[in-house]
Amino acid sequence: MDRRGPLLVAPGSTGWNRIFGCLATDTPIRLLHLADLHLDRPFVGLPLDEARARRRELREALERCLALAVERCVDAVTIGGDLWEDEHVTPDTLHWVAHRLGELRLPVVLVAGNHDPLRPGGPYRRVSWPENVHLLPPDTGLQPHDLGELCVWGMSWGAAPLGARALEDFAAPLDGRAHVLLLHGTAGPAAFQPGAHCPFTARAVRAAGFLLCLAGHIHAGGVRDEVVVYPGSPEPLAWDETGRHAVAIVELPPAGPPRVELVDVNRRRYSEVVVDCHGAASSADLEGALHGALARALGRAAAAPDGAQTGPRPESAQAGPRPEGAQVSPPPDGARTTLPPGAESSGATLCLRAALRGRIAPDCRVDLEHLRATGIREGAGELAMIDLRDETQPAFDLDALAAQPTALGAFVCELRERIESCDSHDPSEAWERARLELALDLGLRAMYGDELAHVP
Amino acid sequence: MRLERLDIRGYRRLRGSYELAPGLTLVTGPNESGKSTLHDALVRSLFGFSPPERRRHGGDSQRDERAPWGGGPFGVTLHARDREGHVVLVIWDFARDLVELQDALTGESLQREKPKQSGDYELGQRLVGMTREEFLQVCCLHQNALGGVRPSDELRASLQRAVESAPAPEKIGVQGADERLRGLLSGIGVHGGHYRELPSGELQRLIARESELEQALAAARAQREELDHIAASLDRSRERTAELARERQRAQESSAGPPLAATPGSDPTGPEADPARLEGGITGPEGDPAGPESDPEGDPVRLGGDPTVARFREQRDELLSQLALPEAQPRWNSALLAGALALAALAALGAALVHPALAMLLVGAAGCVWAARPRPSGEERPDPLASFGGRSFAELDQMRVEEDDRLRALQAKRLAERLGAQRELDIEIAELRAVLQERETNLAEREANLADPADLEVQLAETRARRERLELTRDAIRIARDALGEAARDTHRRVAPHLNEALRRALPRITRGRYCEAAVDEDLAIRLHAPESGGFVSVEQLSRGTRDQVALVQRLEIARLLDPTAGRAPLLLDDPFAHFDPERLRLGAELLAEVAGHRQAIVFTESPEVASRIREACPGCALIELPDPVGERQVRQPSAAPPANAAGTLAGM
Repeated sequence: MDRRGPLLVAPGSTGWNRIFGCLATDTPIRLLHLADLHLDRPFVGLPLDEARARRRELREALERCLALAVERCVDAVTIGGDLWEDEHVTPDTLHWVAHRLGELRLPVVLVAGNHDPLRPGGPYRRVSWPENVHLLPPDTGLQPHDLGELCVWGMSWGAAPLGARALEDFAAPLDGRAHVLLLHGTAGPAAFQPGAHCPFTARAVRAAGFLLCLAGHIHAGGVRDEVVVYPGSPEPLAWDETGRHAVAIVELPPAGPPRVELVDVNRRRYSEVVVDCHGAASSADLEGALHGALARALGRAAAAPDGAQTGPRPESAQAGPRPEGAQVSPPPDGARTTLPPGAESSGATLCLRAALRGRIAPDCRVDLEHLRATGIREGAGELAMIDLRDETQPAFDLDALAAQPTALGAFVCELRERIESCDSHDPSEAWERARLELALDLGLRAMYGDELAHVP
Repeated sequence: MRLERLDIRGYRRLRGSYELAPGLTLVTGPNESGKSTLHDALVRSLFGFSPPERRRHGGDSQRDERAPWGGGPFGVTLHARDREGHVVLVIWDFARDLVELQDALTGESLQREKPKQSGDYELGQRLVGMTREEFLQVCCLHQNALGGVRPSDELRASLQRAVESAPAPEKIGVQGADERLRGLLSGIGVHGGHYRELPSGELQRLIARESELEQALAAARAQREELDHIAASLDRSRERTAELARERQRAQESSAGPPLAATPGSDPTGPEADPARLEGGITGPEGDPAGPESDPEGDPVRLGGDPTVARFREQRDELLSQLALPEAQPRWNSALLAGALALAALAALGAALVHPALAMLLVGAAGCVWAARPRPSGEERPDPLASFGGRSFAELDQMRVEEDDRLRALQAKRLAERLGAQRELDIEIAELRAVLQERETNLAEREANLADPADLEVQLAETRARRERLELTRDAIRIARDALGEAARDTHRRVAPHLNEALRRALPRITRGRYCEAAVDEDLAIRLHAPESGGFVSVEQLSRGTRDQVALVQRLEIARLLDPTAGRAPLLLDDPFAHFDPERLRLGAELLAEVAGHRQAIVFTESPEVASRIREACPGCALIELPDPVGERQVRQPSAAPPANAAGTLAGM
C-alpha cells in the first residue's frame, strides 16, 4: 500500500496538510487516541433491553469521539485496538464503522486488539475500508505508518497472541521525526501478572525511542509511567470499571515535550455500593437504607473528589525533548497524570449496583422489584439503572438456636458445622457453601413459618 | 384454645351451663353428682364420639348410653376462645352425629361436619392440635388411673413433633417446615420425592429454553465461523485470481512481440509478427507489448531457439555483408574499366608503335581486367568462394528457406500452445471470478441473515443464571429437608431426656428431696435414683403415692411438650390426688397451681380436703359445685336454667 495513501485519498484534508506542514508552521501535531470501544459487546448479566441500550450507547460513544476529533481539529486519529468484539460484531456495525471513519476524512491509524484480531476471514477482512484508514498488520513486527513528520509504529493482534518482543529489539530511526507507538497491550504492574496480554514496559517504550505509546487494553484511562497513554474505554463496560473513560488528545510540538489531555466522553458511570440493611424490620426500613445509599452514590457525582472538574477534564503529561526525549517529566502545573480510582466524569448518569446486606428480621420481606422502582424514581435524571442484589440474612440468633436441645437446634448445629468445614478460599467449594448457607436460611424460614413462595 | 363455658342441653343427668376459668377450675361434688359425666361431656365437646362408640352392638351404643336420662335434646355447646381471641361455638347434636363450628360474634358457620359411619370427627384436632388418643393419654387423668403413659406410636409421633418445636412457640415444627419446603420445591418445578424436574415446571422450562438458546448460539457461532471460512476462502480466491491475471498478462505480453521481424525474407505483416493480433478477442486493452528486453524470460522461439538456425543466420548475414560490397559500385567500376580499357588500347597502340611485344602485354592485361569486370544481375559470374561450409550458396539458400518454414511451423505450434494455455487461464480466471461472485453473494446473504449472538448470549446468561439459582434452591431444599429430618429423628431419641429434665426439676419438690434423679427410657418408662440402693429403680417398685406423683409430673411435662402453645388443650384431671398423703397433696396442689398459671386446668374431686388444699394453693380458681343427686341441691354453680336456644341448637342441620 502506498504509504502516502491518506494524502492521495484526502488531498484537501486538514489532517494531512497539518501533518506535513507542522514543522514549517511550528504547529504541533495533534492526535486523538481512543481504544477499547468494544462495539457490540453483549453486556451479559444485564437485562436484554438494558444490554441493547448499552450497545447503542457504544456507537454513540464513537460518534462523540469522532465529533471531538473534528472539534479539536486533530490531524489524525489513532485507535488502540478492541474496536469491536469479534465474536459479536455484526456486519451492520462493521459497515457503520467503516462509513463513519471514512466520513472523518482524516488519517486513521489503527491496530487490532485481542478482541478484534486481524485474522484471515475475520471481520476486518470482510469490510471495505476507506483509504484514509490504515490498519497496521500483524505477524510482521512493528510496522510504520508515515504521516510526514510523524511516524506511527505498531502491530496488530493476529490469529496468534501478540507479544511485545519486537519492541525490545526495535530502535526508532533518528531522523528528526516524531515516532510514536500504537499498541494493544498491558503496561504497568499488571504486565507482570500471569496471563497478561502482550505485556510491555514503559522502559522498553522509551528505550525503543518512542515519544509515547498510545495504548489500548486497559479500560481505566490514565497515563502510566508518563509515557504509556491509556485513554480507557469510552464507556465503562463492567461493574468494576469505575475509573476514567476518555479519549486522549495528544499534542506533539516541534520542540518540547508532548502533551496529553484526557477528555472524558462516557455517558454512563458504574458504581457498586453496599446497602447496610442490618436490623431492618420491614420493607420500609429497606427503602430507607436504599434511599441513603442512593443519595450517597449520587452525592459523589455532584461533588467529585479531588477537585475534579465538571465537563471534560484535561489531563496533561509533558514529555522531555524529542526525539530522544522519551523521558516524560511531571507536569509543571501539578496536573494529575491519573485520577484516583473511582473518580468519575461528571455529567455521566449512574449505573448502580447495590447489594443489600445485613441481618434483617426474619419476616421482613425483600421485594427487589419494588425497591428497584423506588430507586429509579428517586434517582430520576441521574440514575440510568439500578441492579439490586439481595444478600441479606434473616436475623436468627444462630448461637442461641444451636444451643437448643431441639430438632431446630440440631439442624442449625449440623448445617453450621458443614458450612464451617467448607474452605472459604477454595473456589471449588464455593458452590457447596452457597448451597449449605441457603439450606440453613430456607430451613430456618420454613421452621418459622415464613412464606416461601419465591425463590430467594 | 381456652374453654370458657359448656352449655349442656342434655347429657345423661346433666343439663345447664358451666363456666370455666382461664386458669384452674375446681369441680367438686359428692359421689354420683356428675363429676365424671361433666369430665366426659367436656371431652365429647371437643372430640365427640368415636366410630366404635357410635356403633351399636346388639343394643345401645356407648353414645346412646350417654343420652339424657329424662329425654330431650342430646347435645352440648362449647364456648371456646381461640389463640387469636375469637370466640367460637362448638355445637354438638350427638343424637344426629352433627357438629358445627360457629363464630360466636357473627353466627357464621365456620365448619359443619357429619362423619360417615366409620369416620371420626376432625374438629377436635383442629381445636386442640392433638388427636383424641393423645388428648386422652396426656391431658386427661382419670380417677384412680394415674399411671405411666403408654408410649403408643401416635404418642411417640406427637412427642417428636412437640420436642422438635419446643420451646419457641412461633415455630411450626419440622413437619410443617417440610411441607413448606416441599411447596417451594413444587413452585420451582421439582418433585418432592425424587427431586427430578416436573415436566411442566419452571426448572424444566428453563432447561429446555437454555438448551434452545445454546443451540441457537452454537448455530450462530458456527454460522460466523463459516462466514469466516467463506471470507478467508474469498480472500484466497481473490489472490489466486489476481495471480492468474498477472500470469495471463505475462503470457500475453510474451506472445505479443515481433519474433521474426528481423528475419530476412519474413513477412512483417505475417501472422508471426503479432500472433496475439490473430486472437483479437484475447488481447485486452491492458495488453502492452513490451520489447523482448523487458522480459528476460522471453520466449526462446523469438530468439531462435535452434542453435543451428542461429549459427546459420549469423554466417549468412556475414556472407551477405561480404557480398554486398561489389554490388554497391557497379557503375563506378564500369567507368573505370572503360577508361582502363581505353588507356590500355591507347597504350597498346603506342606500344605497338614502339615495340610489338609491349603491345601484346598491354592487350593481355586488358583482357584480364575485362574478365574480372562486374557483371549485371543474373549474369553468370564465377563464385569466388564457390561454397560455404561445404555447401553451395544455393543449398544454403534452400536451407534458409526450409529453416524459415520450420521456424514458422515451430512458432505456430508454440503460439497455438500458448494460446491454448491462455485460453485455459482465461477459463480458470472466469471460473474463479464466478466463484468469487457466488461467494460474495453468499457471504452477503449470510451476513444479512446472521443471528445476533450478543442478544442470544444475554438471554442465555439470564436463563442460565435463573436455572442455576433454581438448582441451587433445589439442592438447598434437599439439604435442608434431609438435615431437618435427621435432626428430628435425632431429637426423637431425645424425647426421654426432655422428660428426664422435667422430672429432675419437679421431683425434688414433690418428694421433698427424696428423689432427685430420674431416668426416662425411650419407651417412656421411668426409673428413679433410689438413695438407699444408690442405683436406679423402676417407678413401678415404689409406693402408689410416689408413682402417682411421678406420673403427674410426667404427664404435665408431656402435656407441656405436646402443647407448647400454652393453653391450647386444657388439662382435665379427675381426682389426681386420691392416693396422696396430706404432704404430697400440698406439694401436688402447689405444682398444679403453678401449671394452672400458664394453662387451663380443670380438676375434679369429691374430697373436700383436696378441694380445700387446691383452693389454698390457688385462691383465684373457679369453683363448680355439683349438687348431691339425692337432694338435688344446687349450691352455687352451675345455674339450673337450660342454655339459650340460640347457642344451643343445630336448627337446619
